[in-house]
Amino acid sequence: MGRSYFSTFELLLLALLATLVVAGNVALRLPLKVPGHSGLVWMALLVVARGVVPKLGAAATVGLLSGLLAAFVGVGDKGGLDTLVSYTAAGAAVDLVAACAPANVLTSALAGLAGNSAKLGVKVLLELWIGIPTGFLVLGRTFPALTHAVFGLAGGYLGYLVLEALRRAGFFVYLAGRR
Amino acid sequence: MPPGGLGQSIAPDSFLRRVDPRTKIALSLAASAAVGIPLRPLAFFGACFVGLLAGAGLARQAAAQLWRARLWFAVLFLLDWTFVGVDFAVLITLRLALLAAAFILVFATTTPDELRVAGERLGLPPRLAFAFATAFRSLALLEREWQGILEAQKARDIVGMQSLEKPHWWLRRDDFTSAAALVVPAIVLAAQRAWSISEAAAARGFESPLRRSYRTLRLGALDHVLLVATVVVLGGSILLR
Amino acid sequence: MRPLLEADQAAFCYPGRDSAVGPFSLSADSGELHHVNGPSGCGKSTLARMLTGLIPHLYRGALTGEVRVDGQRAADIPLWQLSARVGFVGQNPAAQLLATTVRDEVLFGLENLGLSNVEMRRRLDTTLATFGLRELENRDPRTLSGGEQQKLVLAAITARRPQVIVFDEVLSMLDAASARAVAQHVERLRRDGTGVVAFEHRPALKTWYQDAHCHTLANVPPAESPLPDLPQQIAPFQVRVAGVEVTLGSQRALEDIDLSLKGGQVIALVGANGAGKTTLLRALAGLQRHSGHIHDGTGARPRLGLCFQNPDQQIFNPSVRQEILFGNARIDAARYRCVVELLGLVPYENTPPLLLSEGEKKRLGLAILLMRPGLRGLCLDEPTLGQDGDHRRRIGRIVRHLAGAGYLCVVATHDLEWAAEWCDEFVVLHAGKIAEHQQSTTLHRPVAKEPECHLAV
Repeated sequence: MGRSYFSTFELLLLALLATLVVAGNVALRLPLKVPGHSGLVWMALLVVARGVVPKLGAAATVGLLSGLLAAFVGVGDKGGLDTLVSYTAAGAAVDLVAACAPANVLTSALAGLAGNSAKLGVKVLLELWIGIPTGFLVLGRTFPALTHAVFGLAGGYLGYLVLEALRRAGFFVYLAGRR
Repeated sequence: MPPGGLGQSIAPDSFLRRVDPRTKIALSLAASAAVGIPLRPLAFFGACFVGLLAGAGLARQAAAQLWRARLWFAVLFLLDWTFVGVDFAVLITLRLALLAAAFILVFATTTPDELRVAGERLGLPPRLAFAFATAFRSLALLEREWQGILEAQKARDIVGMQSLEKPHWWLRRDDFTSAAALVVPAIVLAAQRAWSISEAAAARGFESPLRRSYRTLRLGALDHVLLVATVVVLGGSILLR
Repeated sequence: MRPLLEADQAAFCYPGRDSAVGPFSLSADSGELHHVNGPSGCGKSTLARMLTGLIPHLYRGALTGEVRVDGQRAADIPLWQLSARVGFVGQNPAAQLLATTVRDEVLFGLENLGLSNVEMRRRLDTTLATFGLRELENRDPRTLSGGEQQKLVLAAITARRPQVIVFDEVLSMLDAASARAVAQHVERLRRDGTGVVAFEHRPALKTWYQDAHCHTLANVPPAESPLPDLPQQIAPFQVRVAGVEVTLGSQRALEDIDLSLKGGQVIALVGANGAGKTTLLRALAGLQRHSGHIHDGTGARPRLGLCFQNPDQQIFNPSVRQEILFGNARIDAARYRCVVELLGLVPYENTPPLLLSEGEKKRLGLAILLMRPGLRGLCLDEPTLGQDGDHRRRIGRIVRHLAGAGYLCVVATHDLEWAAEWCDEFVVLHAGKIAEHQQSTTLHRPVAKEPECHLAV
């Protein structure tokens, strides 16, 4: 029987990182009323996931699983579909950017930017689908687009720092011995 | 979020608990698709959907979901009414409400284990389904683990720990140190748990191509009634325009 | 006739390590009981995993020699097939739970055998009845006690009817009563014809090994070096615990706790799960809100540190040295040197703490604690849990040595044998109250007289 793309260990590790994403989104709220600030922790964890399982699809898998989890526990104000799709899109965007360049601080930051922006993008697409006039969206989503980008960049950078801390702590040596 | 921390808020007495999760997913997708129809048929569909939610004992969950987005509803309604008209404002609000409430049918009446089995029946790889179930089971453990890490690092008087208890908007160097002291153990513990579970699963033959689920899903009479009703209502709504 | 399970000069070298673990040779058949023992670090867990095929299927590294199952190389058999013939039960029962109900836990393994629903149901019913789990069928496994969880894991493996089961220290995390109960099930399995290979160090279960084939993985016990000198003695002090009560949620976790403790003692806190041992430790260490008083007679609260049960909650630095020194504003080199020598961490100073063994990590947790200035006592939460004889003895020597220097050591433990050997007094807790407080009647192992050394306070 051929080996699967993700080993069972990798899949479970991604699943538990997805749990951290949901818990982080719920518990680690900064005292800010700024749209997109959850991206600081969220994108950091997606970048970390992509780093500890360096395969295309890792962050998207975390996105999908965390989206399902978040929908189950009632996170998000626009319903389960919005939650599921936006979480998955964030993960997929991080994956795509991370696949385009070698892992470094810039790639990580850009991946965070892409992920947090993709999350907002899904919301905008849903709002377009509902029929909200484009003008309203432009007016109402310009500032959030900026803040999502900033927090996404910061989150990606934070993810890079966490990966470096994990590397120094011997975490990747620990992983290297396991399939 | 349900009171008491992370966890699913399920409606145990709802008749939808007896319905196949695949049926509920189909109903939710139909409700989401109905978001695109015009006002009059949407109102008809919405009324039927509200009736279903009420009959299934999900009115409270739906109200809570809509309450979370109240600011968004209010702002949109006012803007639409001011700049377009009241019909348009009502249309957009109804669409948003339906979108927000559509998947309550699934998430408030289906346990993760049930969804896992349904997912496998729909072609989801068993390993992915198992990973999801494991993630959900770990949610409760995570809070305890996090508190344990926080306490253990506080006991070391690691500088900056106080800042995590009282978050502030400016970031200091100590905050990054404190963050590493919390995040690294959290990720390491997650990896160790993932490894233990994968070893235990392998020891019980996980990844066997012979795998047969003990639980079987069969569409019952109620499932068929709901599916037919959905098709009729959605079809009728589209024809009504 | 070839044996069912055979290791032939099997050795395994983990990535990044210079030397391999092994070689080992062992053969086991249905109905046989094999007991494998050896000092800490000799490779018991590695051999257990080689016998079950987890190495090399799940672990990267270089495997030499052979492990054969029914004459076939284990490395050539898919793991899902291998596990149907050779079962595996690990040390930590909570880490092996896979499902949300007891019933689903047993079904998990059966589903992977491709059995019909009728056969699965039959095996499920038989297994639940045999292991006394029928009444717990719908319970969440995480709410069971450690002994019940280990019994459940054993039931889940047994339901698959493997011909041999490998047990990796399955009793080490259980209290004596639970360990006996699980051992009895294992004995019944053997009588029913299942082969058993048990990696186990619990001396109290000698009856289990009476007619076993015994294997010792290393003949030479590790040399016991004298413990280093401790710096200046801690001046005599006492800790007065008066009317301490703790309420957690709606439950009274501790009630009317009155104790008088003295520096220089090793106190064992014993009791069943939920008796309040950990809560009392946390209260003593100042980590748990409580009513009542804990003071040293002058009204001040003595500085007692808590050594957490799971050291992985604290580890995040690149090396043992940095981990121990982290957070100390002023580095006391002499104190550091004394601590690493005392705890046997000198060979690992530059090793990432993540890569240490569990016993080494527990000692690291103790080292982190001992670097705290002004410390006069230690609260240790299950320091011997899951550890073998060498580590248990080592911890015993260390706490006695610290007590000799004037530290108060309070140890919450299920390990009554260890407590009887190394502790001065027992405090027995039951339902949050002190049921008994007595001197230990067992003579503890005399500590060799060491010249005085000063761990600066």
